[in-house]
Amino acid sequence: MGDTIITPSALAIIDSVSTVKDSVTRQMLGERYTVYAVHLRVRDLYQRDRWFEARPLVIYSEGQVVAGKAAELPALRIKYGLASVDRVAAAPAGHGTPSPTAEKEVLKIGLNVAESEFLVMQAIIFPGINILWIGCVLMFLGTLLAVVQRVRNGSRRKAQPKTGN
Amino acid sequence: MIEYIGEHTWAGQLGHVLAILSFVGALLATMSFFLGERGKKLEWIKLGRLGFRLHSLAVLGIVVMLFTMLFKHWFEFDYVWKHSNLQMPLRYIASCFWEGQEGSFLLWTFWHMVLGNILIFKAKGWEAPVMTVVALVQVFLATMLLGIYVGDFRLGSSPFLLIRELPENLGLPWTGMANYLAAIPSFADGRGLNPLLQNYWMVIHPPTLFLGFASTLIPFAYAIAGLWRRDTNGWITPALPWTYFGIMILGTGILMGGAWAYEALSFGGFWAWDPVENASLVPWLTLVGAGHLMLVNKRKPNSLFSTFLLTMITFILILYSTFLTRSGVLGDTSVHSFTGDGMLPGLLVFLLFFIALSVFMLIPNRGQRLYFVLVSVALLLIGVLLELQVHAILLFGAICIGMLVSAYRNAFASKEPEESLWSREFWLFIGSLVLLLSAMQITFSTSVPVFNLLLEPFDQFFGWIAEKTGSSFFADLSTAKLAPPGEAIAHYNKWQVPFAFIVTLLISFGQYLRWKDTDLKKFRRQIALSFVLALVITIIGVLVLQYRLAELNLIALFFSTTFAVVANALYIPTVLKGGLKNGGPSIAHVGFALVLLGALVSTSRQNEVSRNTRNMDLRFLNEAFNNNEDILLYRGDTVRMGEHYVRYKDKTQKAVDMVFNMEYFNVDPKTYHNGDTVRVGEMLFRSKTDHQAGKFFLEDQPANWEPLETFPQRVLWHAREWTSTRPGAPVFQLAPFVQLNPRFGNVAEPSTKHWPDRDLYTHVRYADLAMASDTADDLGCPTGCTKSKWVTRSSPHRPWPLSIV
Repeated sequence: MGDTIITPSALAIIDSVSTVKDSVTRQMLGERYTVYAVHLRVRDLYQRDRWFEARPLVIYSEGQVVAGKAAELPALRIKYGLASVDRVAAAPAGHGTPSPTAEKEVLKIGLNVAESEFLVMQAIIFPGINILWIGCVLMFLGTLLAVVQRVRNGSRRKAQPKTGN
Repeated sequence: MIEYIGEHTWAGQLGHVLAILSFVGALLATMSFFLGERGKKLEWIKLGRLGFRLHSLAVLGIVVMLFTMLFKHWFEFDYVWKHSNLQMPLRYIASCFWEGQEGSFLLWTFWHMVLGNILIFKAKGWEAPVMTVVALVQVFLATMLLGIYVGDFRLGSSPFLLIRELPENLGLPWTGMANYLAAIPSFADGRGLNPLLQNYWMVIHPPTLFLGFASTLIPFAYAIAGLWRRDTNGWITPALPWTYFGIMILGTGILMGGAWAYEALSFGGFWAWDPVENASLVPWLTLVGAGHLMLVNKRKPNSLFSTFLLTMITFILILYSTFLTRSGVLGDTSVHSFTGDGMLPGLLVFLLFFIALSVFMLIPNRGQRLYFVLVSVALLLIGVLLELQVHAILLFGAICIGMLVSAYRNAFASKEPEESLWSREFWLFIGSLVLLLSAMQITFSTSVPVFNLLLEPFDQFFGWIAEKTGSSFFADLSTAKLAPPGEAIAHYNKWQVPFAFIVTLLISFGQYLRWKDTDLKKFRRQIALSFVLALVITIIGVLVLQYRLAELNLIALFFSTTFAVVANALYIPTVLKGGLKNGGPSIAHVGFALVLLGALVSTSRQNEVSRNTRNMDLRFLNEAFNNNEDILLYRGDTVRMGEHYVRYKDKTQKAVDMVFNMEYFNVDPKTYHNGDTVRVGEMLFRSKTDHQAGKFFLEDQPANWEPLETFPQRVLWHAREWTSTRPGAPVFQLAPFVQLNPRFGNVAEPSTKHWPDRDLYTHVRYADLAMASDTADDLGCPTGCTKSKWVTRSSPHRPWPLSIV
């Protein structure tokens, strides 16, 4: 316990893992199912005094995951899902395992963190850009007119060679 | 001999034959026109025409062959395989044609050929010498497409090469398989045109630009012809319309490139001072200078040397630009430079030959000409045989400059009379000079990689100086690592704004001056109104656009461009008395000044309205992001941005494009009701009244809001912040998109909202590009929850799905 998961906007601390054994759940699901819950304390990294709690669930039946319920924190636009809870033999201290204890068995949990899809966009106002495009058209037309006029004058001069310009 | 199955070998062979024919035809034309001019014999000229027609037919044949190969998807040919594929729409086949090195040379050759044929009809008495030059250039260009070996050296590069004939494939086992086309799957389809270029701009921009390039050859050819005949100003009149034709077409081509960049690429503007953009702008500037000097010297020769220099330098700059962008020397300093492909030696010879020819023609006496030729040939031999190319080029450059100075002093200086200060010709001359300087500044900055190459042999020498003096400049020189301008845009703008100021100022009053001398009283009377009007507009402009005193250079440019617009617009009713027939130049000047004014206003007052307001620092995603210039939008979220609210609605994939649909809403005032609770900082307030929010909370607060004294922390966290506005009616949608381009890298393409007075230009900088991005973390998701709204990361440190910058 006590592992943390850091995402760009939030930090989550795994508080505890428990099985949900209240009567309502049991009545609804029956004895074949085990419901695990992870308690997370989530800190908003941009408002450090802001803490949230999240409790995602996963439902096992005979060792297989059958369903889950993610915990959503709308204020942080983040969602924690519990993918798996496994009992594994304690490995030497390493990545992904809780701090080594004297126990033979440790709980290994798989957590999914989902953040609301987003994009980063740039928007620029270009004032008066149409002046530029109008200029392009005028420049083209003006030069065209000048070229046409020169070609016409040229051929007229050739027709009357002595008149000069 | 293997009989390859399914190969259209004949097409390749026909292509090669046509390429050789085009070379031979051009060579025949050059020699015949040359002899025709020397001996003044019509027979030779007729043979020259025949040669050029043969060349023209061959070029047309090559064009038709290449198009056929592309249309029929004969992927055994390297050019077809590299530049097209089966999926691409047929209308973009033309783009494939000129996407590659060989195709664009072919396009250039084609335009020269067309213009040459027009000249045969139109040049009359100037035909022989002018066509000699045109045909000579065609000889060089035809060589570029030959692709034959002279010893170990490959001359040019042919578009008709089969993939199995590529040097790197020779002798590979599969080239011995007769059925390799059917057996090897990668021959079934080509690599295809870069999707970024599958755009209608790619269909119209290159042909226009290359016609512009090609049209600079005609004034050059006339200038050489004029020197050849020692008729130093007779060539100007026939060359003039061609020069202005070139100005028009090249200018249009360049601006089309700008429009393309603005409409479809995410450079963030229409001009980025990219080396390839500069490469086409610089010859345009010198061509404009040349055109204006021609106007002066057509009447009375008084700055002939500069006229020759600018006319010739324009064409040489076209060759230099080709060299710069296609030989590979630019390396990675340009976003769209072509790779080398071993074109460097050929292009270099092409460039140096025409520099030598220009200098040779300007030298007035035989002795010096002979000396120049001998020295040039000697240097060529030294360069090639002793492998001292750089030394030889530098020495050649120095000799050319020396020759030009001597030519000017001996043949031109004495003939150039003093001009009156208030004559049109004087100020036209000054204007052309400024254009040349502006062109030189751009060339200088763009050529930094070339300087590094040229300075390499002197590394030790500079190293020695650096050691002695401790100068970091020489240390940089010695390591041949002069850096290209870092902040390219700022660097060029700093230099070019003053040039633009002078040029536009000259444009504004230039036409009001008379040839020879001007009656200053009349001049002042005519120009006064424009001056005052421009001043008034500038003052209004400065106030509206809030230019500060520190931006004096921009204010000055604002004034000079406005002055140029007003003065040239008024020139038509006041001086031409409404005669539009001769108003071409004035209209073009108004256009040019408007282009600069538009560029000035839109870039100096561009406003990044996208500002990040979310609780996530964008620099966390990427260092290039700026919280003041980029906005983070969660899907489905509506956020204030500038004069609108914007909502990232959803994304859809259309073929290779991931389109992001963005809705924009009006900004409406927010209404609060009695009892509403809002958060302001760390405090909560409850509304006492029904009211419409004002601009600032502090103004509203005393009358409308009362603070809550005690409340649980949790309520504070979940309370909404006070805002003065809310999203109103939807007004428009924009759809910037990202082109998914695995081979060339993803490209963001902008979407722009146009209004008469401004544009809103948006592009996506970072997004999740997977369509269904959810991995079932929420197995118990009730119906109706939209899974794809979420981006999942399974373990804490997995990188983000995909980013684009």
